[in-house]
Amino acid sequence: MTETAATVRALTCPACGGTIALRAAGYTVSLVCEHCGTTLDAADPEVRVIAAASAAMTRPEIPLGTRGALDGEQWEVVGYLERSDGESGWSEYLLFNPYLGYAFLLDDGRRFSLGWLLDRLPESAVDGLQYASETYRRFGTPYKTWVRFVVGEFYWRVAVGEQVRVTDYVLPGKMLSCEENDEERTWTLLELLDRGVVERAFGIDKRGNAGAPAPHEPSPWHSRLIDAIIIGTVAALTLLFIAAIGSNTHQLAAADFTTTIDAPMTSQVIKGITLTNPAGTAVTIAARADGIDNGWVDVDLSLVNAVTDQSYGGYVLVEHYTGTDSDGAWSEGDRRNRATLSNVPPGRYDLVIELTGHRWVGPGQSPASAWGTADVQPVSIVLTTGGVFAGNMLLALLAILLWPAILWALHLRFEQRRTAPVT
Amino acid sequence: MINADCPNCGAAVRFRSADLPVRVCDYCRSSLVRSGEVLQAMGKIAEVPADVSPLQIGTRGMWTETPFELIGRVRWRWADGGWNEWLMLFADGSTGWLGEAMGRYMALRALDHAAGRTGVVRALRDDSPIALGMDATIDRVRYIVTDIKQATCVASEGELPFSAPAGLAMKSLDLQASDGRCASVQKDRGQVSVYVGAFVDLAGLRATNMRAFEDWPMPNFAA
Amino acid sequence: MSKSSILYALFCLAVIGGFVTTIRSGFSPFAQGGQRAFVHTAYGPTHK
Repeated sequence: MTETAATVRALTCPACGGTIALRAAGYTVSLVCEHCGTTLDAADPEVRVIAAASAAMTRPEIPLGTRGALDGEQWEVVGYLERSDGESGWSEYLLFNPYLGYAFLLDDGRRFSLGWLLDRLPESAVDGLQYASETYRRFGTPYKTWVRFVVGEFYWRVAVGEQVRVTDYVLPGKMLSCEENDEERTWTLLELLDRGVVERAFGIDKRGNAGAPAPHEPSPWHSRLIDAIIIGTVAALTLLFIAAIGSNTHQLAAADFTTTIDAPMTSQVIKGITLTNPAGTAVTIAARADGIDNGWVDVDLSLVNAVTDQSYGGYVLVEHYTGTDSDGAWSEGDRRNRATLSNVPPGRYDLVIELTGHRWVGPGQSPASAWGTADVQPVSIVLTTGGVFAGNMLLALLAILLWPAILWALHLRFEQRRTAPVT
Repeated sequence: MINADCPNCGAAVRFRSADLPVRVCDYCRSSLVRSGEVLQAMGKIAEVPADVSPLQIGTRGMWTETPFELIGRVRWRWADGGWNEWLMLFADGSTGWLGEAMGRYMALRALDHAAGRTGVVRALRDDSPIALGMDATIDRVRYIVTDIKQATCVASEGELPFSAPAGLAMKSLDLQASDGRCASVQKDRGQVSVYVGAFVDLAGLRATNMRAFEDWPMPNFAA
Repeated sequence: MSKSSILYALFCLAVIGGFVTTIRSGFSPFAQGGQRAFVHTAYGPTHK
């Protein structure tokens, strides 16, 4: 009673006389001879013929009887069948281990999944199906499948043409498949196996990665996308924080001037502007002409180094226009504007300001009379240093967001291919 | 443990349970029936056909926190296959059945009462038609009928609560609940018996002393 | 953490470092300096 026995038994096919193996005696019910395709009744001690072969025999890619280890457990291929849904086909290997029972190795031509029959039923949840605390979403619509080819041994009366209606539910890496016919409904849980695992375990050729993703294939971009979003968010927040604390400005000079509209340009100087930062200073010069209407002021600026005479030029336009038309009154223009000078070296500077005021004459308006009173407009100039350029911040944020955006696009494209209907 | 001699061939016969009336002699395959102190040989039982079941007489395990040992087996056959029912002897002297079919296992215990009010049980008793998918509530658990089989006994071995001669006819219903529990209702020789339990696997049963196969390593859970 | 994520994190550090440098040196490619030439041809309201 304690002697060990082999599990494989040799039989002779009553139809063709060939030698076939019986690997799961006591469980196997139908055995399809691998030489001639005849279906034999293994439940009958006489092993009678049930059905003659209906198609030419092909050899499965993993031959019957091949042993392989998956997840540390040994499995033997005892049966093989091919199924089709009318548009695409796939294969299923019936794996057997006397201590673990049966498992299904599903081959869609590209990826392998390992499947088990479930003993307990999944429960419906709000957003799909729940099983073992995980939620599965339905993939596609229910479809009919039928067996196209069969060889080896099975624990049910398998036959070419046997039909079931299938509904699939997926989450990344797993699929719940519900199969039903008039007599029964079974649930199978499939786990997508990593590429190369089955090829190494069962000794078949390694496969490439071409082709549509499996319904339950996880996006290869997902985890990198999550990393990138986290890193990018931290970087962006850091950037905003630095901008907030580094944006102090100092006002170094301010003065009020006047300009006469349509008179020649006047030149003014603000002396004694000292820049101290050895690395360079951002200088902002703001001009304001609150009284301007239907005119503009050209403000030409030069920040001249008192020692080296090096000059940094700038220009500000302040303007304002009003009028009425069929829609009512309108106004346009900015009475306040600014120019920025970047990275100005340290030193003592004078700011030379050249103001020219102009009136704007629109169509249908008469030009100013040469003998009218002069229009004198105030212009105030304020020079500040420091601050953060919005343009710099935007550029930095765009640079940070570039990689997450690329990953997001790649992820979306993968998901689109994964959920595309099979045609 | 009770020891006796087979009245037919004289071989030593051991009984692990004092309560079970039937024992198949391991050597001459006579069905030995116990009544009181007397052991009677009542016909021969066929050999159990060779199979690759990992279970054997003497396999031990644990179910519902109670240790058990397999002490008997009945093999049944139906049109589309066969299955084994192993008798579990629990440490407290009670028994249960470990059904083995298609590589899956159901551990079941007989219900004290025959659940006579359940529609399905009555239908089986009265030979009314039963359909797959029929609802049944047994002992406050809801099941649906998932399998209906007409079976005959093929062979038996070890210690059993009833004599199981080859050809004994039996109608068997399998029922499943949604949470892994299951039930079995059987009718043979006019009597209906109801068993309730759950799907199990050998790892979950912490099975030990399983049958060894020369070409298979022990699985990881038993290593 | 994948290699590309580590490289991206280093890239972000470089961007932040660059940003800090522009603050400390008051530098920007967006400073407008002398833009008089653009505006010269477009005085007046653009309304209508």
